[in-house]
Amino acid sequence: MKRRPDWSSLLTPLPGRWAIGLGVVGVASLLAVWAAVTYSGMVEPFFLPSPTAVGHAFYDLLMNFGFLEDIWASLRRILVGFVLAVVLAVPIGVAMGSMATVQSMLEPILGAARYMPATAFISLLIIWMGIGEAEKSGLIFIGVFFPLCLVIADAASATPRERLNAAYTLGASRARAFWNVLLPSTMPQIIDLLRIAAGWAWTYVVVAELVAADSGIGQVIITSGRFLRTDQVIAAVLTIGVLGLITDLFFRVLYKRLFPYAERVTR
Amino acid sequence: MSTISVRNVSKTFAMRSGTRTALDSVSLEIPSGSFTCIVGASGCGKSTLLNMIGGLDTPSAGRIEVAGSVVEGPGPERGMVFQSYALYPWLRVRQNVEFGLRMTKRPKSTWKQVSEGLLEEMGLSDFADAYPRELSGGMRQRVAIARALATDPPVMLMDEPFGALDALTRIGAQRLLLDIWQRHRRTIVFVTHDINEALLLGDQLVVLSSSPGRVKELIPVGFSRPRTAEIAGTAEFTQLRERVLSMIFDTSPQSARRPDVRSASA
Repeated sequence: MKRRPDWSSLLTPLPGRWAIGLGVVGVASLLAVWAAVTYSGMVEPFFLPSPTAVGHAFYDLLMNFGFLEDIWASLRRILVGFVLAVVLAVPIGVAMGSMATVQSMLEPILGAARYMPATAFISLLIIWMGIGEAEKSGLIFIGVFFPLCLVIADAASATPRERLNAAYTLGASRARAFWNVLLPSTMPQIIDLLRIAAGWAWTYVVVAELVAADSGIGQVIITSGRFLRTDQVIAAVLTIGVLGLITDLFFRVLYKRLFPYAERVTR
Repeated sequence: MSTISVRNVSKTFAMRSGTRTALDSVSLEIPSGSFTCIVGASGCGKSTLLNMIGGLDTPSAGRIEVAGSVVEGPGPERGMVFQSYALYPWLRVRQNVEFGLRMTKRPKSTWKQVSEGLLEEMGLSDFADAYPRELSGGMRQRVAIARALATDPPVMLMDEPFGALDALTRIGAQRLLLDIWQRHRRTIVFVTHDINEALLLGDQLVVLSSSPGRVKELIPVGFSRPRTAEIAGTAEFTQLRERVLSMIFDTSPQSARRPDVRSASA
């Protein structure tokens, strides 16, 4: 006899099969509502085209509008901006979180920079770098780098003090305590924060492509919008959703691979 | 010799409402190879005192010497065991035990022999390749003890190591600790709020009074060794226990200083 899971129990994970099944139910319900309001004619196609119309638009974008190249253009910008931000933010964030001297020096700068919206830098970026690829990746960099430094600093500073103290009583020097305790202790959270930061990168790539771009998913969205092609806009937006989901999945798999000892993946 | 001498040690903390004195001129001599338990109500500064012996905290006044040299920071000659185990979740049990050997740069060829010997003593041989999260609380604490023993420190400082264990696991852990101490004699300083535990384990009890923490009395515990939990049933044990309790709560008849005395069973 198969045991049914308890549906309403709090903070209890579901067995994998059920978790996936419920995910499918969720997506299917959304699709069903979408289909119901569009096929029935309740909502005009101009405002919300039917699922099939969006499917057609997606196919059309791929075949006749070179959408794959747009996707690649966006991905490339993200890769450059995001990787650069990560490469700098991880060491700076960890140093900030673990050493009060670095913290005191950088906190005012990063704290203020965090409140400056990345979008406010667009004009400056254009003046500095023109309207090419550098400007697009630059915006992603600014959007990701500053907040990432701060959340990584938080994660590093939350290292349980006793783990470090235990290392010192076991003969570890400061440097060894850093490399052998603080860093491995913080690593899982860093990977998880990168996953969340990848989401920010997707937001900023679209923003970057709304201004002076001749390629990219964001540019497709703005152009389709000008031509009132709701179906294409939705197809492009959904594409971002799916690509975002794939990036998320990538980081989750990476997390599981790197940290087989970890209790669980956070949200 | 690894005698520990605490000389006139005070510790004050700066608070918003002024300074708080956690420990007030505490002086202690802990003989080499002895098992000393520090007991006192919560907040009496017993963990602070232990941390200062461990070098994780510095006295505001006075000084602490271990084996003749002044404590200036933590070191592998003073192993510590924490209530929260403080194991490294990313390392397997064996690697956790070998951590100190790695940090003190002992030859790699010796690691395995040391860790396997200790894990066997702790009854954990089958779990050498497990991660800490796969172990129960009692097993985790045994790994932490093995880790502290690996570098063979002459002094072991234990901060309520069994505080998070359930009653039965705790009895097993106490037995194991006595056993280990019997075999490899070293100076143990053991902080606890459980007087039964202190009387079962210790050669001497340091009773601290609270706010500010002062050494109220040094009580020698004379039960013959090896000891078992059965000594808790003897009249001598009960008497000693009552004496310690009344000292902690200051209910002894000759001192009517405090009006707000609480019952000893609290």
